[in-house]
This record gives sequence, structure tokens and C-alpha cells, in this order.
Amino acid sequence: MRLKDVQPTEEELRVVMEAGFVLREAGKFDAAEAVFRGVMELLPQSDVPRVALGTVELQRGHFAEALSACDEALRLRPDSLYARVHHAEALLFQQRRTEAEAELHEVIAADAQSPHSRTARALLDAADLICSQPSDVASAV
Amino acid sequence: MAISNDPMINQQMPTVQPAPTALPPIQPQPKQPGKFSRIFGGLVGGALNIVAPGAGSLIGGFINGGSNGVNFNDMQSMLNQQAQSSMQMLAIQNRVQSQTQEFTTVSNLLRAKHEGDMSAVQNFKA
Repeated sequence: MRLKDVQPTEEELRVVMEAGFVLREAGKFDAAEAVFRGVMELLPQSDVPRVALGTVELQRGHFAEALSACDEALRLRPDSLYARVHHAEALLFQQRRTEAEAELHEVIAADAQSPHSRTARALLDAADLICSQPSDVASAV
Repeated sequence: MAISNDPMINQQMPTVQPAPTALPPIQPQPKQPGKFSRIFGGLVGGALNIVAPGAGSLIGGFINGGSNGVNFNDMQSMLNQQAQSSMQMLAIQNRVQSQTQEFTTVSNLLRAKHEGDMSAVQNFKA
């Protein structure tokens, strides 16, 4: 069977993606990566499986790879708040706090009611725990 | 024991016996605390026990006059210990509060990320 012969429905793809997230949360990063790479093959123009792959890399502690995956997702969909918030998260884990906070504020400004804005606010709240360097605002005071 | 054999020197003087009295000898009584001191001491002791357990009883006892052999140095030492315990308790409370705050922050972040993931999956198009 060839890849083009596989035509999953949207609902099936959602279930597969959720399975990938469950595997990631269970710490089965290789299996989660396999799932997300499979969805990437099926949906080469979608940002979602790429960002999901980035979150797996983030949990592995591979921040550069996570950043790269989110960059790729942003190249496909520059307006993706999902990609931007996880891009900022990867920056935060790389101790690039100023850039990360600027990007998180942009996400919130773009759509304050979006679930990704809630993630952005939660990341700003947790910045002190993730990042050892103080923020520009805090260090200025 | 006789110092000398001279009877004039060694003559025993008759011991003077106290005159018998009708009243028994008066023993010095410790000063009893007044009613006000007893009540005030009890109140202060109770109140301070809420703030600093142990120290309240000590101070209350001191005020109502019943120091019962606890001298000033003992009291100061006990107060120092009490202050040290209070400081340790405050430090522990601060740590617990800080850890609770961190737990809440991380919990909020994980929940927000999960909702973000689910939202992205629900909205993506094949």
C-alpha cells in the first residue's frame, strides 16, 4: 500500500494526533514522534503535526530541534499562534528570555481569547521557573 | 573541746533560752498576687499563647506573680528558644507557600498547553 492510497478522514487524523499527545505525555517520545511524522507525511502543509513534533523535542530537552520544528511550522503558516507560542516556549528554555517574552506578548496581542494566548500567559507566569536570567522589566527595577 | 585547763576560762556560760511566748513564731509569707494581677496575668498569658505557644504561659505567670522559681535568665533563654522556633516556623511557612505557588503556576501551564494542543487538533483541516 502506498502513502497516497491512505486517505484518512479528519476525524481519524484527530484521533491519531490525540494518540500522539497521549504517547508524549506518557513519556513514549519515540512512539509519539513516529505518530507525528506519519501525520506530517499525510498532511505536508499542516503546521499542527510539526508543532506537535516540536513539543516532543522540547520534552526531550532538545530545544534547538524544537525551535527548528516550530520555525518550519511558521514557514508553512506564518499566522499560526500554536506554532508561535511553542516557538517562544523553546526560546524560553534556551534562556533567550527577552525574545521569548516579546513573542508571547505578540501572541496575546494577536488574539487575547485564543487558547494559545492562555498558554502564552501561563508561560509568562512560569518564566521565572523556566529561565534563570531575570526579565528585562524585573532587572530594570 | 576545751582550749585550756583553766576552769575560769573553760567556764560554760549558761545558754539564754528564749522567753516562752504565747504566739507561734511568724514565718515570712511570700507576697500573694493581687486579684487584678491574677486575672490580668491569665488574660495576657492566654493571648500570648496564641501568638507564641509557651511564652504566653511564662509571661502570664510572671505578671500574676507566680514566677515559681523561674528566674530571669531561664525566662530569657526560654523566650529566645521560642523566638527561634517561631522564626523556623515562619521560614517553613514561607517555603510551603512558595512551593504551593510554583505548583499552581506549573499546573496552570500544563493545563493551558493541553487545551492548546486539543484546540489545534480540533481545528486542523485535512
